[in-house]
Amino acid sequence: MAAPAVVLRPTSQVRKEQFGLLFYSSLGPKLLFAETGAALSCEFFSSDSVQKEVLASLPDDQKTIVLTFLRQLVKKGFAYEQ
Amino acid sequence: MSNRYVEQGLIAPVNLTWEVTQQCNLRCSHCLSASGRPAENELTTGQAFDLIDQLSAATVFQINFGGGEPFIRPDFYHILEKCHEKNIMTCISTNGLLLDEDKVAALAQQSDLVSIQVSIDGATPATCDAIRGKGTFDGAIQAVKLLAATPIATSINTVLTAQNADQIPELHSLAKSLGVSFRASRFRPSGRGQENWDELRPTARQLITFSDWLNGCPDVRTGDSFFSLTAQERQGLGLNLCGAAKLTCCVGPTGDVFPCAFLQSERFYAGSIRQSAFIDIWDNAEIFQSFRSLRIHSCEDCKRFDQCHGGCPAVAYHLKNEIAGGDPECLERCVTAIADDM
Repeated sequence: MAAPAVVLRPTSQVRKEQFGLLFYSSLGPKLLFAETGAALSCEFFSSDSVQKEVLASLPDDQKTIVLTFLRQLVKKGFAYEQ
Repeated sequence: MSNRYVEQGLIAPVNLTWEVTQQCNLRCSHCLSASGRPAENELTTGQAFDLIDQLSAATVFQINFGGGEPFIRPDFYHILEKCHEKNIMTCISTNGLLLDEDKVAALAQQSDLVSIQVSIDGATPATCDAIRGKGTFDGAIQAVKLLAATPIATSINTVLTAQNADQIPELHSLAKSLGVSFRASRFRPSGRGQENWDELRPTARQLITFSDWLNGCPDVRTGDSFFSLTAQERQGLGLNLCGAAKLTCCVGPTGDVFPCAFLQSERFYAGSIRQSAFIDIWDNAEIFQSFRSLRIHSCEDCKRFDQCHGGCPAVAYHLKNEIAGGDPECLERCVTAIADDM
């Protein structure tokens, strides 16, 4: 499955919480609680190469889940596809 | 809003209110912190920078600057720059009177990370100036015009009072005509607002009218101010529970930490950043723990409980001296108050 790089908008930030990742957008402001557990780290959003590396390392079923989540991030305005 | 995650405790506030000074060039009759003269022993520039380092390390996303008038502090631009260097977003509440072309141009250099709320409390000079002081309406409008010509995200912020309640749609239109957004905030009985509560307090009917109007205006932002008053249609736009000590907290001018800006008294004192690391206060302060486990049992049978979870504890405290007593001005109580008057 092709995976476009997903980049956080300048108005968005992310941090690690116990449940997974917490996304924040100053537009609103709004929050997104992502129950990603240890599957994704904040560094995932640091560069295109990191994303490719992480996605390549995932089994197909987990990769599908992560890509669906990334599409949600884009849809909700926290990120955009590059 | 994922209440489950919020109530189990986040590693740090999502945002916090930082009242960088108590000094103000105005004496607004509703001021939540009774600002005017500077507080004794306000944080120095070095102490402010140290706090920013701590908030950055704690991964706080945003600082909402208030006061007092933040721009009255000579080092305020340096404080802002330091926040932005650390990639912390900032939002500044100002009366706008100290802003000029040069200062706005300097802010515009950091426009990706800063937003500004200019306080205007009436759609006419007469209404606004009666609350905020002579000349404040014209001065604030001038500031909004300067800001609107830059990429800085700017809003007019109005505290809903009995005096301006019928001008809210007009204020919304004014903001639109100036090319900025409109934000409404709740009047709470703290600071000078407590002294003037009876005069400025909106009536139940005004609150209901405002609530109905708000439901038709999804572009109007309210922060968490009216979560106890807004209908289900607006729930997706904001909080459905009090965020104090869960999502946010307040740092006062001298470095004292409280659950929220409306509860800055000894009873709610969580610690001082002069004596403890910020994150230790966030993690361990007893008052913060008590807010995280606060349940408004008297509201649990209400049909709107899932929408407000008991509303604003600060209003309950100031009006009934009972933090867990349920918000005395929630939508249900407004409806009941009007029915009782009929």
